[in-house]
Amino acid sequence: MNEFGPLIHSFWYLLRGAAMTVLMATSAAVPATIFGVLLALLHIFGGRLMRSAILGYLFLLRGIPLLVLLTFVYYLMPLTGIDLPPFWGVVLVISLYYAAFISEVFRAGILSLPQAQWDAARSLGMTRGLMLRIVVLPQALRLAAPPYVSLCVSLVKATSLVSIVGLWELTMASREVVERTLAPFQIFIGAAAIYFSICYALALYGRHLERRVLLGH
Amino acid sequence: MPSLFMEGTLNDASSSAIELAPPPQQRRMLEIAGLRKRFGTVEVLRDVSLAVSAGEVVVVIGPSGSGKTTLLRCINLLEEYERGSITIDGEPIGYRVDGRTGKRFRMSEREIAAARQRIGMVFQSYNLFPHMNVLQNIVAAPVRVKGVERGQAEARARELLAMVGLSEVDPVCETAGAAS
Repeated sequence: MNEFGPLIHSFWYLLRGAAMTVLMATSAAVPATIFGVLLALLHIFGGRLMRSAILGYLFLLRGIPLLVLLTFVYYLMPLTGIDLPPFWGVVLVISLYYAAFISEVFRAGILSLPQAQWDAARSLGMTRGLMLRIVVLPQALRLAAPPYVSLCVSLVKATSLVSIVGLWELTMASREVVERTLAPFQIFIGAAAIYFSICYALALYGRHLERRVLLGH
Repeated sequence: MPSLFMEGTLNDASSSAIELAPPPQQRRMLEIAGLRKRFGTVEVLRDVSLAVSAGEVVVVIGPSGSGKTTLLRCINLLEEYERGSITIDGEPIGYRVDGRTGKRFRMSEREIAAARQRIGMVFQSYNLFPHMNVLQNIVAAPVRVKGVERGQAEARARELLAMVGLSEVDPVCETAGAAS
């Protein structure tokens, strides 16, 4: 096992990088989800102007690679005079980017509810807010759960891009170790295994949510 | 004078309304006048007028596609209609006509929701809420819309289930089976 000596020696360092990855992913996923649901609701119920604005946002963000967006904002920030810590800068970019995808997933969930469910809720005299809360969203979230979990997994992996703008997390830590140890295969096998573990755990938790919590029984 | 009359036609002339029980009183619960509804170029309801008194049971009969469901959906404002008026217990619902200009306005969502609370409707395919169990389906509207206390609503729901011979059914079971 001598070949894996470099990995074993630096494993703790990589794990600290992984902690940073998880922290960054969580910080981005929460606002991305909230903003995404909001976008989906405004997309469906908003006026014509609101709808065009949201469509523009979606097409723009979905059409630009995240790496390009991160780099662009990285160079843009100093020019605008906005003094945001780099960590929050990338968290902001990632959450705005993923909100676009998440909103489409939730919109699909809401729109795939049969018209009959809306009719039933309306005929009971429910106002729109109540209808959304107790009839539409509980069912729509269930429908949207599988693709939503996939997006969260994708978001975790997307944080590896931030090393390009100098933020330290698992990928950056791995590159540092590789420069020191000159053992790229071992180190990146380790990094891949850590990424896989995080994503696998997330996917498993997602399945658990789908079955237990969202189905209700 | 018959308490129920129906003028005009659904889009099929063979549709008719049949009076099942004589009206115990003459209080008009539902009054529809000159209702007109079209889907694109198809005129589904052509000048439908009818009145139903309190206590009366009325059946609307007609071949499929003749507009029975559309008529019911208009009453509950699940469909918009172009002309005519619907009055429930003396109160116009759905639209308000400006006295001076004669322009017709749709009532606010809140007003319409309030009107719907007083109208019961059973859909052809029931449209139960699949994410709720039997009991939750029954108490959803009383508790969340009318603000009845939950325990009270559930007790009433069990009474109603017993009344229709469903007391043996586990009320917290899935709704899919309950529909059948």
